[in-house]
Amino acid sequence: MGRFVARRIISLVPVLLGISLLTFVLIHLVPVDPAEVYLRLSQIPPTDEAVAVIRAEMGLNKPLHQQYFDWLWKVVHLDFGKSFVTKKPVMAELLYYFPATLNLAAASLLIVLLISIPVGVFSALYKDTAFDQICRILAFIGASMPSFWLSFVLIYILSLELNLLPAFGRGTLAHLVLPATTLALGAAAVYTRLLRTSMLENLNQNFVLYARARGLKEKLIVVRHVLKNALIPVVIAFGMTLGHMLAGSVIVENVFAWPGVGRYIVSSIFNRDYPVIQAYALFMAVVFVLLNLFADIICATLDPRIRLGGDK
Amino acid sequence: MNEQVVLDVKDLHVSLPSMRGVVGAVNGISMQITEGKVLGLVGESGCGKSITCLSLLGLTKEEGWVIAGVAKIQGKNLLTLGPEEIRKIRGKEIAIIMQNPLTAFNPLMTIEQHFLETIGSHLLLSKKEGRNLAGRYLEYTGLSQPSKLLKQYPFQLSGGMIQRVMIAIALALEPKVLIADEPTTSLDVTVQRQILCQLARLKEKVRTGILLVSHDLGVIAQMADEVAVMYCGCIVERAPVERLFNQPLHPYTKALMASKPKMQKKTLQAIGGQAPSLLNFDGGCPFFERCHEKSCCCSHYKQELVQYDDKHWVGCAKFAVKQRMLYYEPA
Repeated sequence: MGRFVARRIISLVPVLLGISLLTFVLIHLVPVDPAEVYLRLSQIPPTDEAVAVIRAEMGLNKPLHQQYFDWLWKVVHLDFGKSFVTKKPVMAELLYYFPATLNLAAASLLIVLLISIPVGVFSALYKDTAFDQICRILAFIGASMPSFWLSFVLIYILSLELNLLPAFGRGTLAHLVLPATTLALGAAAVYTRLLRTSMLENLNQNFVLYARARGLKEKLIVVRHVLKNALIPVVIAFGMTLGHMLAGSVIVENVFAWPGVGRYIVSSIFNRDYPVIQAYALFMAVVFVLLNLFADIICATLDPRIRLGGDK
Repeated sequence: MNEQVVLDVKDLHVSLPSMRGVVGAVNGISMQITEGKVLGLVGESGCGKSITCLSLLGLTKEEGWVIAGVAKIQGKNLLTLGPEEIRKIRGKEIAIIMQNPLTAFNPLMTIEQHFLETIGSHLLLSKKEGRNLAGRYLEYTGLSQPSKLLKQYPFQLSGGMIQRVMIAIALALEPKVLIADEPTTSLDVTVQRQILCQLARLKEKVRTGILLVSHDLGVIAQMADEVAVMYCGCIVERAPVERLFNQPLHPYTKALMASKPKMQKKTLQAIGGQAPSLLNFDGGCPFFERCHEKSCCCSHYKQELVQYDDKHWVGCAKFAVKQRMLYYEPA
């Protein structure tokens, strides 16, 4: 197991370097000069002299490879420069908004697991019964509802009409319920179906028949033989969904005025706040890479074939 | 002679629904499995051998399946037991060795976990006792270093090893009946021979009655004490092994014997034609179309086993007619 994790972590180094290169190049691909943007946002007329001064200040006159290494050096030290708008360090800004997003993602994750695992398991065990059919319909509805629509419906019913939950903002646990539910329902619907299919596939496996033939209790067969095998593809897919959640849901955070990364990044994009965009792109890429690593590690703990694959 | 019948199957029927009608997969078979003896069940693919095995374990209880008849073990009818009662019998009283051993083990679990969960489902033993029991039976099946083996995963073992593990798991609870459903089909010939020898040895040790299912006449000739030949869900002939191989009576058995590969003959002989579809099969001899010895009355003949002599039973109209003639002839 230790060797497997070590191998995976070492293989991440080139991936991360590649990501950093892409993120850096990104800013040089946009047709607008960052120095000009900076001047506009600082409300200074972008005359040729002013642009030249800023370009020199930002190091944009240096050769490209040197700019990259300078930037990379800073990035390694978690220095992403200063926001053009607020003039504060980007890292501090991201760290300010990230906990709210993390909070929302964790709550959504919990809701997804609480819905999709039991519903997925039981709709596979009671395949084609009324329960399964109802879950199927609900899953299709859940997966096809756009989140902006769902969020407004939830606000309308639960906040305005019934006055049960706050409609927006962050603070108490009650504030978390509506945005987390909105974010979770779509994913829960997808994972319910995915788990159901995966369960059914494993229920038909020869080892389940053999387990029954050995006189094992049905509950044990379902949990140990079917569910454990069925979870592997679900865990892999889930790594990606969690990444999207941590990236900050732009729509949900905006509708519920949730002070998370998603809302912050949208305003930064409108302002062309390049250091923020660059830091965010790099940050998200790292989040995805790490989540995939975690998903792989979980799968490896579940499945000895992955863990021991090399050394038979 | 104190041969004790451990499993007595009478008139077992299994029919299953399909899109186009009811398929009679097993049509009234009867057999007795005796303590310490091997009953061989031979037949071509799709004749209902595996379904017979699974229905004895109550593993065919899917929606719409109809199972009728009596299968008695220690006075209990397996076919009418509730789910919990039959669960207690599976693995404990009737154990099974399946075909394709490599897919029969859960890839995520060690051999030890497979052992312990099986033992734990039937006996109250501590982990340590269970482990000792597992180790002992693994040694019986000729596997060395059982303690190392127990920690391994199924994918780390070869086909022959995993089949031995399966035999060890099956015998660890000392079942009255062992069903071996094509135990050696997925193995190469040398391993096949080792496994069969092991099985024969262990049969003596544990005094289990074995139902050996195979389509391989060689395996049957080597292992079985008595043979039942199955065709289209019916047993068409039943006799002690030497008798069956030396003096087959049913035309199907004869055709099977003729299609054994021989060194002198270059071409393999096959049985002409195809087995009839069992979908809505309306009686008559199922072998009628392919039979070389058929007569006019065969198409209406309701297949049933008649006694030819004290140990030999056959289900063919030829012999049935003779029996009836004898019966009706004034003494």
